Amino acid sequence: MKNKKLIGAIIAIFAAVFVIGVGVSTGDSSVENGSTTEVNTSTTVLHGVYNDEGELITTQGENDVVVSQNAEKIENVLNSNTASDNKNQNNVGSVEVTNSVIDGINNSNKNYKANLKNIPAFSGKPYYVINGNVPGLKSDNQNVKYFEKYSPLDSFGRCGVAYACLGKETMPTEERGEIGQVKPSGWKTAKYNCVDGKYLFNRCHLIGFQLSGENANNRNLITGTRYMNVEGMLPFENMVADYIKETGNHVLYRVTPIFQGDELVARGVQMEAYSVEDNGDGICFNVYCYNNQPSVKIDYATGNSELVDDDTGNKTTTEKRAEKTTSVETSSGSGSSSQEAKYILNTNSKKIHRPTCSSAKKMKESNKQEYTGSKNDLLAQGYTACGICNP
Amino acid sequence: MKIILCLDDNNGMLFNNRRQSRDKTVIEDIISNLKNERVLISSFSEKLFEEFSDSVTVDDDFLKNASGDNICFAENQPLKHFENITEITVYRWNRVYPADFYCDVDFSKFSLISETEFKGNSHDKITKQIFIKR
Repeated sequence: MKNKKLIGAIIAIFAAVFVIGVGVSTGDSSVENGSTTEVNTSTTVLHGVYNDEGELITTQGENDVVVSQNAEKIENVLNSNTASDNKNQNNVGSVEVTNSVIDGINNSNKNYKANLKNIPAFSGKPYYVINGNVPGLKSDNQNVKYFEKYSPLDSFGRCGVAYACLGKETMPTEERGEIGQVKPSGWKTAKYNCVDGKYLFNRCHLIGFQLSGENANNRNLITGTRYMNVEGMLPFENMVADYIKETGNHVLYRVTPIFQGDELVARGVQMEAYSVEDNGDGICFNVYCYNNQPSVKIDYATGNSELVDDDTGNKTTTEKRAEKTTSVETSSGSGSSSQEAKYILNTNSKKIHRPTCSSAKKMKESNKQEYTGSKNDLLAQGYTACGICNP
Repeated sequence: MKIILCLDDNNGMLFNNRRQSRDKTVIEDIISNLKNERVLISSFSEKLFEEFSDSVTVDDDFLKNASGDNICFAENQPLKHFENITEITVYRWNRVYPADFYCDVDFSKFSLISETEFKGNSHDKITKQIFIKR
C-alpha cells in the first residue's frame, strides 16, 4: 500500500507538472487535502479520463484541464457490502466512468458528452436528452462504494464537475442550513413577477442537497435559474432520491455545469445517472438542463437579465413586458381553489393554465379546452396546475 | 376491467423506459385489497410483485385479454382505446419526476369516489384515488 501511495504521489507530481505545462489554471491544488493521495494515481492527464478508482482526472472541456480533488466525504468512503471487506484492496473504487460500452451500446464516440453546438436552443422544455439517455457512467462490479467529489473552482470562480456514487450514506441527516453566504460565479439578484418565488436565480446545487447532504459547499453551487432548479433538475433528483430510499441501491451521478467561453453563468448542466446494483435497470439517464427562465433574457457573461416577451427569452417588446407583468400581478389576487374561474386545460398533459399563460397560447388546439369552474374539481379529475402561471 | 396506475404530479408514468418511482407499500396495498382475484401484469412489472407471485398473472397482452372485473396493473401501456375500463385506482406520488410517457386516460369521463393518503416506504405521502366511469 505504501508503495502504491509513493507511486501515486510521483505520478501526481508529473500530472501537476503537466497541468502547469499546458498553461491552464486549476484553481485549487489537487493535493491540498491529505486524503487525496489516491486521487492522482492516473498516469496521464487527458481529456475526460478517469483512473481505476473512478476518479475524475480531467473535465470535459477540450482545453479545460482541471485536476479533481476529493471532497471531505471521500475520507469516509466505506464499502456498503460487508462481504467485500475481504476484497482485493487494489480493486478499491469499484465504479468507473467509461468511454466504451454501456448496456450494450457502443459509447466510444463520446456522444454522451454535452456539447452546446449540438443542443437545440431552449424552446420551453426544461431538458434535452443526450445520447439516447445513455450516460458516460458504468458500474463494473457490485462492490459499491459511496463517494462525492467536487471539482475546485476555476480561475473565474466557476464550479466544475460534481461526481458521486450516491446512496443512503450520502443523504442528509440534518435539516438544510443557510446557503446565502455563497456567491456563485455570475450571481446577481433579480426579481420578476413571472418567476415562481420572484427571484430569477437560485443557488443551485449541482448534486442536490437531498442526495448529497452538501449544503453550502461552494464547489457544488452555481447560479441557476428558478426554472432550471425546479423544472429541470429537481425532477431528476427526486427520481434518484426516491429510488435510493426505496431500494437501498447506489447511483453513479455526475453533474457538469456547461459554460460557454469565459461566461460566468452556466448555459446549463448535464446530468448523468446510472444505478449500480441493477446495472442501470432502475436509473439511467443523460440529459442537459437549460439554465433558462421563460420570459427572461440572461446575459450569461455577467448574470445580468431583462424581461422579454416570449418563453424562450429571445425578443424584447416593451408593451408585452408590461402586459406580462400586469397579468401576473393581477392573477396573484385570484380566488381560492374552490371558486369558479376560467381556465385553459391541456387535455393531453392534464395541465391547468390561466387564460393568460404563455404555455396556454402555444398549446395545440387539439389539446386545448376552455373551462369555467373550480380548480378543485379539476384536481379531482387528475389535472395539475401549470408550474409557470401557477393558477 | 379495473385499472391500477402510479402517477406523478404531471400524470407521468415512465422516463427512458423505466418507471418513475416505486414504493413497496403501494404493492402491499394492492395485494391487501384483493379478494379472490389475481392482478394482471405485464412482464415489465414482474419485479415489483416478486414477493407476491401467487397473486399475479403475468401476461404481456393482459389489457387485451382482460374482461369483466379483472384487475390490471398498468405501467407502460396506452389506455385510451380501452372502452371497457370501469374503474381506475391511481396512486399519486405527490412528486414531479421526469416523464416521456404519460397516462392518456381522459379522467373527465370518470368520477372520483374515494381519496385517501398514506405514508409510503420511500414517499412521504402517497394519495390513493379511486375513479369510476360516469
